[in-house]
Amino acid sequence: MPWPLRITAVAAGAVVVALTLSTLVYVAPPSVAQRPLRPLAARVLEPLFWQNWQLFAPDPATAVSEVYLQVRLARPDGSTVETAPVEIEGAIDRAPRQQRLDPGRLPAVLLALDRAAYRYQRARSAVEDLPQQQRAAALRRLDESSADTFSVVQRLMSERADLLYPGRHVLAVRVDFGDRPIVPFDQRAQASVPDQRPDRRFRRSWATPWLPYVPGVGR
Amino acid sequence: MRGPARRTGEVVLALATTRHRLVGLAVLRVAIGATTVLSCLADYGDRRLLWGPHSYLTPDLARAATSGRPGDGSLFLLADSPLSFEVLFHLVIVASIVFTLLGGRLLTVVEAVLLWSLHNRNPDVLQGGDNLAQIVVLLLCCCTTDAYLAPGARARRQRLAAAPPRAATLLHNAGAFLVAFQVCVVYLVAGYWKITGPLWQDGTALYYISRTPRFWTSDLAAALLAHPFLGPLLGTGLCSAITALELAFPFAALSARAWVRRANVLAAALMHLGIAALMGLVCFGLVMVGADAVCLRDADYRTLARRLRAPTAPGAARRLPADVRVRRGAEQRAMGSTPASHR
Repeated sequence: MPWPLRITAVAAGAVVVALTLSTLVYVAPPSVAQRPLRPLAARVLEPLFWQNWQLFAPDPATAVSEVYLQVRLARPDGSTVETAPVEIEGAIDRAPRQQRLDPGRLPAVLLALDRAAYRYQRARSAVEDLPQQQRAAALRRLDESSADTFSVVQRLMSERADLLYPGRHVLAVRVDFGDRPIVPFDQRAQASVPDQRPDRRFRRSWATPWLPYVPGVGR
Repeated sequence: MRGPARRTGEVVLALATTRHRLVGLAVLRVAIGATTVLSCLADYGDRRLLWGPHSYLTPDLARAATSGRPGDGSLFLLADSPLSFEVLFHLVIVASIVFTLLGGRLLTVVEAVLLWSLHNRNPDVLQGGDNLAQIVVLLLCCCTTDAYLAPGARARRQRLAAAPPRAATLLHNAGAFLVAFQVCVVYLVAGYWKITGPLWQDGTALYYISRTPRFWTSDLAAALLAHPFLGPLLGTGLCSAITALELAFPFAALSARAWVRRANVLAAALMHLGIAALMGLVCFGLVMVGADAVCLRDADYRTLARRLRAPTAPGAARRLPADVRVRRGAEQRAMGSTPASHR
């Protein structure tokens, strides 16, 4: 066998073995054997072969996330008005029904935002459990570390406000993140007016403060 | 020690002589290229919002979200003026169309760079299919993706069949193996996590998915899953079938029985076409169908093609593709016999 072929065989074999073993360790469920090896596998695989295959598993969501957008508008006479909160996630999520061949990616953006809001709220709850003298500093640190999340929410909601109120002078936006439980499977026959039931009411996870409007997003 | 060494040498020589999974890799190439085009066109109106320099995720925010490691970069972050964005975005569409139609190693490398650039510009919009596409497009760079479903594919296959043992063939087979392995990992892991989920065990997981507006586009399917009598039967049957299919996929793909491999891939492809049609995850479904295709051997496709041709063309069942005729003829001549087609 020619030498170039031998060298290629050894190199390709080494790469195949390294990638297959690392992948198996990387995606294996956490265990006493997997945990110590995972950092090594991650060093081989990330970022090019990063992967996560928990598709709708272990369990799909049992609540539907909702995002309510409230907008502060300037009137021509100089006064301001705050609109009623408008649910914007449902319309974006249902958009693929109108374009089945090519559903867009906007629902995924809202999903990412929901997750960021959930992470922020969880961290904030942990801060609120701290002793009072530590709370203010911890909250400041949390808000500083979450500045990017705030910025993303502010920019995306500014763009949505433009779409909701075209031609109006938007001053600020405020967002309520939360979810509404899905009617449990064994109660599905009783769900005649589902949204009115106490167990199906909107559960707020995070309400942002008023965030200044950012013009020109998505232009 | 000489026996195992000689045997290893024979295996390496065989892997350096014949390129495997050529049909499946061509199908995967078409699937990745088509889904890239589709996802760009689907959000064409929102392209500036999702990937542009004035996106809700600014270039600085996108850079902050990545750690600067190799593979985290994006051409969209290097050139972030409106004009360069438009040029680059349209280049992704054009390059993906050309890649879909022609394939080939150079175009695969171009597609890999552009696909990763698009994905790294905004990780928020990625789905499971994008994760798989990112991985396999890198592996496709080692593979021959234009031996089928491309202009000049027949002549290319004849050249490949007559070629002496080469390092490039060895790399192709290593890449093809890793693609098939990766697909099997996807199924095995997805199946494992489902079998540990109470709602999947209970048979109600699809009911809850059907109540999530983001993932459901069929009111009829949602109504069937919530039906007082049909719902439990349908939900439990589908949840069990999906979990069983995913867990069995890697083992069936390795099966020596051709009908097991074919039935396995057909079932997986049908499941993903169903996901694309009913749940609105079109790009995910198409990438998975392309990936499933790599889990069939070229011989499986030849058998299927012969069976499809047989009813309309008498004698076609015995007709073999040109590359197989050349290879078999050479083998039989070497063994001192006359090929059946020449008798």
